[in-house]
Amino acid sequence: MLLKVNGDSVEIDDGSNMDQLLDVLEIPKTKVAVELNGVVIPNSELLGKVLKDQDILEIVRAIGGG
Amino acid sequence: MDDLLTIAGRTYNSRLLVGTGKYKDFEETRLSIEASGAEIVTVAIRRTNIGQDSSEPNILDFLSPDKFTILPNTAGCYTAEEAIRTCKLARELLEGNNLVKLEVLGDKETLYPNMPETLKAAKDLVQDGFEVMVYCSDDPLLAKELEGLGCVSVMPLASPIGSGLGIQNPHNIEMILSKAEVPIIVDAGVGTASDASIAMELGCAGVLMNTAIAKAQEPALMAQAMKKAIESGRQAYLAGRMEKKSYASPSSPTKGLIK
Repeated sequence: MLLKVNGDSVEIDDGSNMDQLLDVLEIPKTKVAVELNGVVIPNSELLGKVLKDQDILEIVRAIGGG
Repeated sequence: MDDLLTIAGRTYNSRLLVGTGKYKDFEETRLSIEASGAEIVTVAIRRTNIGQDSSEPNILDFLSPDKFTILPNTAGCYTAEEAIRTCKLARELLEGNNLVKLEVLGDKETLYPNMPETLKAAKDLVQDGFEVMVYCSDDPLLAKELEGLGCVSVMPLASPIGSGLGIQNPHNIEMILSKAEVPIIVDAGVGTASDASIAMELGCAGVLMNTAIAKAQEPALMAQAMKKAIESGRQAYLAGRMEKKSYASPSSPTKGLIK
């Protein structure tokens, strides 16, 4: 299936969840927050969240800023 | 003497709030923040780089939320909608922390706040349970309006973000202060220690700065200078300055002079 992650197209196996996506993208699983189709996923549900084709994700972290 | 800054029910010893952007590396950031004595530290929220080294250090690894109040900002947002989405992500990222620095920008050249969008975002965020510290123009009426919407701190700019031009309109800051019932924090535009002192002497509750420290030749030394400037400006404000006079007034007795 095809996802849009941080503006880029990402191909991943059908039925994958967030845990698998973060593995594939080599993104740390802590100190991140994820918005799925405009709605923030609560941390407690993050890794188990099952994704579907055409999902749009924003994965963010904190960086230096003023 | 206890002279604490209270924001959203939490108290702080330091009235200097610092940003974490524009530093050479994390070590320089860490040393500067330590020297500043700041307890409230801003961070930005950005997309994770896909394929980054997952062992790469994260700014939250050394800015522990146990030690600092982490204040996520919405810098780079140009609409209320973008700012609100960023705040919601930040709240999840920081495990339910509701305190945010709302900043909705108008254009890239001035980085002046887009006040209609700022007001809109402030209203929605407060309703959603956020504690909003808001970057705004130095318009006294809009500052009061933001307070009325429930913002926990109103933060007018001294001059454009990153300009280092100091307080360009102290009279406006005074007008804002005269009506304020929440802490007024000068946010943006401070260039050097005397600028910070002036803000505090006017009666501001604190100063938020980033570039003035990060882009000094010796950031940690400037951080220390800013700490002292904030403290001395605050003390001068509390002490109450002498009245200004148009002409001289001798400090030594005028009687008993030898002839």
